[in-house]
Amino acid sequence: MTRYIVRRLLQTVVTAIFVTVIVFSLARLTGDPTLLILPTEATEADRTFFRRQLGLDRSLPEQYLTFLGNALRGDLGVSFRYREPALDLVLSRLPATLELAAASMALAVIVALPIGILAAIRRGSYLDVGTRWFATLGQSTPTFWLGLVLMLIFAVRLGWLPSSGRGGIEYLILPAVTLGWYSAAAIARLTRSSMLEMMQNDFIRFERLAGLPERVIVLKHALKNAAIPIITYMALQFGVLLSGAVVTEQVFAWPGLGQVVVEAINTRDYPVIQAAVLVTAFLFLLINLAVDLLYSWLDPRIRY
Amino acid sequence: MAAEPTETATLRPVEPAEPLSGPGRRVESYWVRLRSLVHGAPVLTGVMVAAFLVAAIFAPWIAPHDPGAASFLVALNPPFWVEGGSIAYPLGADQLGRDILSRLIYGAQLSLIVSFFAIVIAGSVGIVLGLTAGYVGGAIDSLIMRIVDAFLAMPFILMALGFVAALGTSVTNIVIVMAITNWARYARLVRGEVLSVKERDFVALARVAGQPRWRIVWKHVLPNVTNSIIILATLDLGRVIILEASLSFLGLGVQPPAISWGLMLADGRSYMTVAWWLTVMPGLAILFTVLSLNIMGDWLRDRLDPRQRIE
Repeated sequence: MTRYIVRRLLQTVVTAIFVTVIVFSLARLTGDPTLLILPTEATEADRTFFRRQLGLDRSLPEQYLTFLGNALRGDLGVSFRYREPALDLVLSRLPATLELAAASMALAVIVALPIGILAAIRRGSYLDVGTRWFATLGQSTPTFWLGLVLMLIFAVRLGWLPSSGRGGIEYLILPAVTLGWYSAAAIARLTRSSMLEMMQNDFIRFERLAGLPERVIVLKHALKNAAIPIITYMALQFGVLLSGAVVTEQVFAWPGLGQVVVEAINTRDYPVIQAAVLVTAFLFLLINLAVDLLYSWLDPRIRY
Repeated sequence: MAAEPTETATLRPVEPAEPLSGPGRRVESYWVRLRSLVHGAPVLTGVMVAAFLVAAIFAPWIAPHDPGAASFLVALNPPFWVEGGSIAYPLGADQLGRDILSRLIYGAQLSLIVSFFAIVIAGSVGIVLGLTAGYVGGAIDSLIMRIVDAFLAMPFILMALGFVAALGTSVTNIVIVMAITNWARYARLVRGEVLSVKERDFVALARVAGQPRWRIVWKHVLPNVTNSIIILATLDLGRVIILEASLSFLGLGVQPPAISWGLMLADGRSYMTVAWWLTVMPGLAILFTVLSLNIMGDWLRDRLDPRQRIE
C-alpha cells in the first residue's frame, strides 16, 4: 500500500516536471520577448541589456532550471500587460472558472447517471435508443455553437435568462448547460456500458435467482461495482471541462481563466499564458492522483 | 469495456477457401469480402461522410459561387425557404453578400486538410513511440509514458492556444499544433495493445525463431494493433474538426481570407439577432460532419474490435 502510494506520487512528480518542460519550451518557441516588451525605438544596447536582465543570454538548461526554481517558489513572471505577477492574475480568475466547471459537472452527473442506468436496465427501449442518440449527438456538438444557439433561444428570443456576465444562479444556467453538454453525453454513455457489463456478471444472476429486489441489485450491487470506471472518467472529464471553459467563457463573457488566456494570447502576454497552462495542468494531475489514491484505499486489490 | 483480451476476440472471420484458379472466382471472393465488410453499415452516415469528402476535394467545381465574391445587393439574404430568400443563394448570404453554401463547401476543404494531416502526423509519431515503449519496455517505456502523461495532463484547448500563439496561425502551423496536442493518445493506445500482443504465442515463436526485433514489431505486432488505431483515428477526425473550429472561433485559428467553419460562426455572431443563418448554418455543417464521423467510428469499433462493443 505505502509502496504503491510512493510510486504513484513519484510518477506524478516526474509527469509534473515534464509539464514544466513543455510550458518552458512553449515560451522559448515564441522568439525574442524583447521585441514585444520594449518599444520599437529601443536600441540594440537596450535589448542586450534587457536580455541579460531576463537571463536570456544563458544556456537553455540554465534558463530552464531558473524557470523551475522560480516556479517552485510561486514566481511565474510578471504580466507584460498588467505589470502584476502572472500567477496572481491567474489565481484571481480561477474561482469563476472552477464555479462554472463544478456547476457543469454537477449538471452532467445529475442528468447522465440516471439516464445511463435506466438505459442499461431497459435495454432496447425507446429510452435506451434515446440515450444512445444523446450520447453520440452530445459528443458531436461544437460547444461554442451550442452556446450561441441556447443564447439565441433563451436569452434573445424568449428573454428568460441573461445572455452574458456573472452574477446570481440565473447567469450560471446557460454557460453550465453549454459546457456540461459534452460531459453529460460522455458520462451517460460510459454509465450505460459499464452497467450493462456489470449486469451480465454471474453474481448479479445469482442475486436475481435468489429473489433479491431488482432495485437493490441495480443500485446497491451493480452500480457500486460499476462506479470505479465511472468515477475515473469523471475525473478525466473535469480536465475536459477546465479546457472547454476557455471557449464557453468567451461565448458568455464569463470572467474566468479563459478570458484572461484569450486576452493574453491576443496581446502576447506569455507569462500569463504559461501560468494558466501550468495551473490547470497541475490541478488536473492532482485530481487524478487523488482519485487513484482514493481507489487504492477503497479497493485494496488495486495495484498498478 | 475493459474485458480481458481473449484469443477468440481477435480471430478474424473465416476466409472463404482460396479458389483453385481463374480470375472470375477471385473477383467473386473479393466481392463477398467487401459485402461482408459493408454489411450493416450506417448508410445515411456513409452518404454524409462521402458528401463531406466530395465537397472538400472538389470544392472549386461544386461551389455555385466564388466564396470570396461579395455583393452588397444580396447582403444578409435569408435561405431560400425563408421569405425574401432566393434559390440562387440556397443557404442565404452573409453580411458582405457572399454565398454561405459556397463558403461551407470551401470550409469543408480546410476542415479535411487540417484534420487529415494532423491525424496522420499525430498517429505516426504516436505509433512509433507507442511501439517502442511497449515492445522495448524498461526505462525507455517509463520515460515515454511520463511524457505522454504530461501531454495528456495539459488542458487540450489551452495547450493548443499556447502553441498557436507561439508558432503563428498559418494552416501548416495549425496542423502542427493539432498533431502536437494529439499524438499522446495514440502512443498510449498502441503501447497498451503492444503489451498484450507481445505475450501471445506467435510473438514468442517469432522470437524463438530468431527473427530480428524490428521485424517482429513490424510484421507481427503492428498488424494486430491497426484496428484500434483506425477506430481512434476515425473518432479523432471529428474531434480535430471541432478543435480547429474552436480555435478559429476564438480568432486564434486560420485568418481571413482563409475560410473556416469556426471563422464563419465567429463572423456571424454579431448578426445573430437579425440573421440567424450566419451562425446556424456553419454550426450545422460542423455538427452533421462530426456526427457522421462519430457514428462511423462507433460502427467500425463494433466491426473491428468486438471487445469494445457496447451492445
